[in-house]
Amino acid sequence: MATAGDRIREIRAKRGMTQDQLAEKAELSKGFLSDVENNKRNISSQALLRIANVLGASIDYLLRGEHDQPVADREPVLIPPELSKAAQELNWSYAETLELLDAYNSVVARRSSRTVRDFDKEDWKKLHSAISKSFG
Amino acid sequence: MLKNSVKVWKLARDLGITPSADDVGDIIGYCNRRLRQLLKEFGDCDTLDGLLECAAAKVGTVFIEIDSDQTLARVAREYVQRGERMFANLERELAGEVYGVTFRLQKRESWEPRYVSIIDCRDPKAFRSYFTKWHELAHLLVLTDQSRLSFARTHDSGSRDPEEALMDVIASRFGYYAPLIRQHAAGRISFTEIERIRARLCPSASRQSALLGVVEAWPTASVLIRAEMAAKRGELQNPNQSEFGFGLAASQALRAVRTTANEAARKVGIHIFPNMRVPEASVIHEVFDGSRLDGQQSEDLSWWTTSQGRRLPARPIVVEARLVSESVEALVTPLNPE
Repeated sequence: MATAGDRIREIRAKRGMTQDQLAEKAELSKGFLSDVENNKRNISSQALLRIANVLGASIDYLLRGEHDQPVADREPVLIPPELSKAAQELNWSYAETLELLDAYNSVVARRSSRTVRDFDKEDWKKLHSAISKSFG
Repeated sequence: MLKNSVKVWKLARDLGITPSADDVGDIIGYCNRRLRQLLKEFGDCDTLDGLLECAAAKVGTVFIEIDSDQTLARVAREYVQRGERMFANLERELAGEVYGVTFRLQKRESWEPRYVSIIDCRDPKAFRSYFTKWHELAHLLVLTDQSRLSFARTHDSGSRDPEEALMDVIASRFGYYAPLIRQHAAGRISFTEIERIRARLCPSASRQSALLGVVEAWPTASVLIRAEMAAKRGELQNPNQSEFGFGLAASQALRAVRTTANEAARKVGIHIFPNMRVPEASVIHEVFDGSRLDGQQSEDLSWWTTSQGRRLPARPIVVEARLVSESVEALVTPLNPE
């Protein structure tokens, strides 16, 4: 059964990092990291957190090997009226419209000192244009 | 406002909380249980900055601070290259008065954190970054499913969104987590003590938010006051009324324009109401008048009177005051804390 040490080694290799590099960035000694990866020593949660941050890995994955479950698709898909208007006007395909909605829904939280209003047609067009510029 | 909010009620139900008369308290209790569990896991976490980092890791987010337009462009480019479409719009997302945005990553490895929280630390937003992180974290602590999220994003055009206001309440509660602060709080609260705790537990927090947060979390009775020249409440609502026909200015006086009483103060009945006139004999007046920059003196709560002339109950208190720009900040504590 894979251990936290095994998973650190696995992700470190995927990131193309040496033990030296990871140890330095996580402010650990190379010897300690080597022992952890070889399951010779336990690691504190704080040290594991530093490693997770450097590797850009989920702490729950490193700790327990838990993969994030994919979020089930929303059913039914509701297309906001303003998006629908923009899509009709600019002749976007259904797939393109859904992709835009998915991108929009990837924002899960936002802190603002003012009330944030919903997207209107022009906002959807601007978002489409920004994404098109970057993704073609 | 929060108490009667349908959004807050719905959030509580989505979290599986049994209906009660206090949904806000129940949601805070829910977050508290999550954080306690987390602290058990990270037994060596003893600072607020550490708690923030641990909590972020457990809810699956990473904070990225944007300190310049160049950093913003670089971060946007990096995530766009990874296929994250919404980052193409990052600059617009952070425009105006938006302090932070959390994205659910769409193109990630299953072992990577699910979210990334972009925190705008460019001037003049930098000083709010600690609180912004906790606000984003609050959203993730109570995150349920996507359908409620889309509900949460439907904002009214008038008043502030109740769910956002609730996130601020959660952020202030856990950004200044009382059990951690109380490990370092001893004796009478003072501005020096608050700054010492800020420097030790959350150096990334702004002095202003730490002031409020530490007062709220302090184990003994403490009231924080901001005193400024202000008119009577009625005159504030109707500033021209007293001038009509007579040319009289509104009766400006030094008043407690903002007051924060912590739980211990509320329990023992030490509460100074907003807009009360500051007693002439108080050190707050002395500091405001400029005869000293700061000071502390023994006073009595009964010096404070309401606009109807009713005195607050007699109780010996200690008042510490300091000048801050055009106003005075003061800490009021009982002479003999219980």
